[in-house]
This record gives sequence, structure tokens and C-alpha cells, in this order.
Amino acid sequence: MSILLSSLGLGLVLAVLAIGLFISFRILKFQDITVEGSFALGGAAAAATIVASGNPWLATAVGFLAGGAAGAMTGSVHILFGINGLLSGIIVMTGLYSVNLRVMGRSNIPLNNHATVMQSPQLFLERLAGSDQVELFGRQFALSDAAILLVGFAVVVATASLLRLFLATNAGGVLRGTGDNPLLMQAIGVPTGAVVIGGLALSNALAGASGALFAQAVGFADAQMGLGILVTGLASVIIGQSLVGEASLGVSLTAVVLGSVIFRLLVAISLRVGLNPNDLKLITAVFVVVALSLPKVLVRKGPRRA
Amino acid sequence: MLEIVNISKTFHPGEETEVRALANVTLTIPTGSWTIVIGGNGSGKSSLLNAVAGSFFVDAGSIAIDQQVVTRQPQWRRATLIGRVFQDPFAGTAPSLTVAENMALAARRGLSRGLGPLLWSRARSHFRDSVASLGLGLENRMDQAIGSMSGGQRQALTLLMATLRTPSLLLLDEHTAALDPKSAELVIAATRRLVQAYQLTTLMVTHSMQQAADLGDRLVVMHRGSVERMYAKAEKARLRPDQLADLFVEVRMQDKIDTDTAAMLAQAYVEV
Repeated sequence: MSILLSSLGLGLVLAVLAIGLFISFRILKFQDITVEGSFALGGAAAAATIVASGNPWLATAVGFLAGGAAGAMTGSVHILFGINGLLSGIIVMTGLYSVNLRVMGRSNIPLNNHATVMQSPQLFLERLAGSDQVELFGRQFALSDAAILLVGFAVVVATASLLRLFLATNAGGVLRGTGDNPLLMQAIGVPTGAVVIGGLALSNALAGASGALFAQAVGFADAQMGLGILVTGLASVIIGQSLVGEASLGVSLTAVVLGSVIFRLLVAISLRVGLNPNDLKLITAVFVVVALSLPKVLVRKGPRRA
Repeated sequence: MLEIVNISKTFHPGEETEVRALANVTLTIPTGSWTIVIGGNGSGKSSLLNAVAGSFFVDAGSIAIDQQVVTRQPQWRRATLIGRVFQDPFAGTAPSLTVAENMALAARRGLSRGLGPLLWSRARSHFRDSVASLGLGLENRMDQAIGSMSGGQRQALTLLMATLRTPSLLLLDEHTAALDPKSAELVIAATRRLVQAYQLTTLMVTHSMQQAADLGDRLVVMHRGSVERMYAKAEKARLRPDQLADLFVEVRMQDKIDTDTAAMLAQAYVEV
């Protein structure tokens, strides 16, 4: 019965990705698909670093930086060569698939026998409990899952808080303004191209960090691990925004994190009641279409100024 | 001072849609002058403004603001010197940001933007005072998203944003054309007050003969990408709106004759 706990933990780890998507899709209003590749790149780079150095924190940082580089690449392709934004993301994502295989040297790296960032919290909890399981409300919970939850929570809170602080600075205002009205930003002296590149770097760095943590949480990195992650992340952002509607940035960020957790729980529950895992991506895709089109259908019924 | 020397611009050169937007335009606007530009559709008046703002690079000629040559500078770099108000009242503000945040972004036009706070209390009260001076009551809505406001309100705020850091040159591109008469009047009153208070060097394009007669100290009439006429201070002061309208008709007549002649020539020589 630790499925609840493990989906909460994974929900928090993937919330880091959702926050990244919030930056590109909602703040920059840039439909960035790179995350499918940068999430996997983060996982691949982290796994390779763990195997090579044994330092999981360094590995997570490497995942963050590698994702950032991928995002900067997409931004540069778009800004410097004038290639459509969506296409730029697809191009970089496609290229990253090979990069990820190169980084890992094979299609999959298991991390079962290696140190991860969840290891020391897990050991600490086990020493505290004197066992690797605890009983809560008459059910058994694995402390390895609790450790994922703990690390995920700490990372998400730190990420969301730092981003909230950043968005209230001059540079953060420029990022928001560039998504809102790039023409105005140029007219008040902002090199919007550089801002787009920087914003995509930040967004994909978070995707990379999320991939690095995800690989450590599930115990392996895989070249395919980014597949469909964009729509999953978007679903989280949409669920979050439907919870709070038009809200301040702090509230919206919190909602995105909640959205990610809720999405993971919904998935866990669906699988538990007998949903075929193969159908999961189709259902997620349909959900995102419905969630994105519903507001438009409603607005058509009763026009109202945005 | 704005010095435009012999600038030309052709859009889509060599294609069927080729347009000669600017043809050897030379124009100097002395420091502190408020110059009005009028002209028909396609006369090049907006292109002139966009060339100065850096929306595109000119094919030939040079543009200098306060002795700094900006001809090859991208728009964002020139923005250090230029304040700009667009024709579209929704173009000059960031809709999902608040009034105060928009002000704060505009207040750092041309300055570095690091990790300092966007808004702090002293700046906030300064912005509040500026907004209050518009007399629209918006000072009580500083923390509302600008997107929730009307075109007139947003245009007045855009004007304020463009002048928050005193620009070397203020560009106004038919900035009341898309507003209702009452809002237009309000924005013009604010323009007059700000331009006079800070002695701003201003280049203003307008479609309104009334504005062209009432405002500014110099008048430029554009036609087919060139400066057709220019009225300096004393001459302009004597111009009345009806005279301006006559002038406009006269310029249009020339245009008509040219088109007719072209059609006649085409008939005589091409279709035979």
C-alpha cells in the first residue's frame, strides 16, 4: 500500500518539470517541446554522472545544467535562424535522442546499486524507525518512498520559492513582460531574443533536474523516459490552473505543484481500478484536449472580456 | 535633436509587391521641437517613424539622435534614447502585468535589469503620483492588471511610460487614431502637458487636421515617401485647419493626376 506514497513522491518530482512548463507555456507563451528531450537528458546525464563519480547531488546539478543547455539550444535555433518555435523544439528534441544514447553509452542505466539523493534521507528514516517499513493508519509504507516524498517536497518548495522571488525582480519582470508583449519590451530597451533564450534555458534546466530526480527515484535512466512527458506536465499545469483560475504568481505556482501531485494520484487510482497502462497516454492526451478546449467552448456561449 | 539624412527604404524589392516607402528623406528636428507629420495613406509617415524607432533598417542614409548614430542599432538598443507610443492602444502595455509593474519596467528603459526588486515602496509612490497626474483615477488601481483597462486608459498609461525616463526623442504614431473622441481628447491633453513640462523633442504622426493645426511648432507634409512641404514655427502658427485641409486636397490632387497620367500612358503604350 505504498502506491499512494510513491505517487505523491513522483508527483512532487514531476512538479519541478511542471514548473518548467509553466515558465515556457504560461509565462513566455512559447510552445516548447524540447522538454521531452531535456527531461530524458537530465536523467541520462545524472545517471552517467552517478555511475562515474558516485555523487548524486553533483549528478542532479549536471542534469539541471544539461537541460538548460538544451533549452538554450532551442531558443538559439528559434531566435538566430528564425525557425518556428514549435519546430525548433522538435528539432532539438529529435537531436537529443541521439545525445542521450551517447551520454549513457546504451539505452538504459540502472541505478539500483548506486547512491541517490534519496539515499541519505532514507537511511536516516530507517535508523529512526528501526526498520525499512512503517505502519500508518493500519497500512505499511516503505521508507524508500517516504524518502522520495521528502526530497521531492524540499526540491519543489525551494524551486517554487526561488522562482517566485525571481519573478518579482527586474529580470523576472522582463521575462513576464516578454511573454506578454515582446514589442513593448523592445520599445523599452529589452533584447527580447536573449530573454527568450534565457527563459527556455531556465525552463529546460528545471525539466533536466526533474528528469535527474525522476531517474534516481525510479532507479534507472532510460532513453525513452521523456516520451509523453510534455503532455503529462501540461495536464498538471492545467489541473493546477483550473483549481485557482486567474491568480497571483505565488498561488499559480503552488497550484501547478498541486496539479502535478493530483495528476499522479489520478493515474495511480486509475491503474488500481484496472485501467490498462497502455491506454494511459491516450487518456492523458484526450484529457488535455478537453481541458484546453473547454474554456473556449464556455466563452463562446457567453462572451466575456478577458 | 533628431537628424535624418537622405534615408530610403523599399519593401519587398524586386517583387511584385515592391513598395518604395521612403525616398531620400532628409529631416532635422531641433532639440525641444514638437514636429507634426501628416500625409495620406501610403505617404510614408508611419514608415518614417518606424525607421527612426528601428522597426526596420533603412536601405540608405543615416539617422542620429543627439549626435549618436543609430542607423544600424536594433530597436531595443535605440530605446535608450526613444520613448514610443503606438497607434494600437493595446500595443504599449503588458496586459497581464499590473499598472505598477508596467511602470516599473518602463522606468528602467535603457538601464540594466538585474536581480533588484521590480517594485519597491519609494518607486511605487512615485509611479502612483505620475498616474494620479493623468486625472483618470487609475492611481487607485495600481495593482490591477492593465489588461482590464480601456483603450483610452491604456494609451494614457503608455504615454506616461514612454516619458517616465525623459527620452531624447518621443515618437507618437497616430496615438489617438483608435480612440473614441473623449479618450482622444484626454490623451492629447496629457501629451501636451508632458511634452511641454519636459520640453520633449517630439515627432508625432497624426491623421487629424485639428491636431496638426493645434499642436506642435513645426509641420511636415509627406507624400509618396518624401517630404512634400515643411512649415517652420512662424509659418505653422498661421496655418488654420481649413487651410491644412486644402493643402491635403492639393497633395491628393497631385497624386490623382499622377495616377491618371500613369493609366493613360499604360493605355497608350502597353495595351496596344
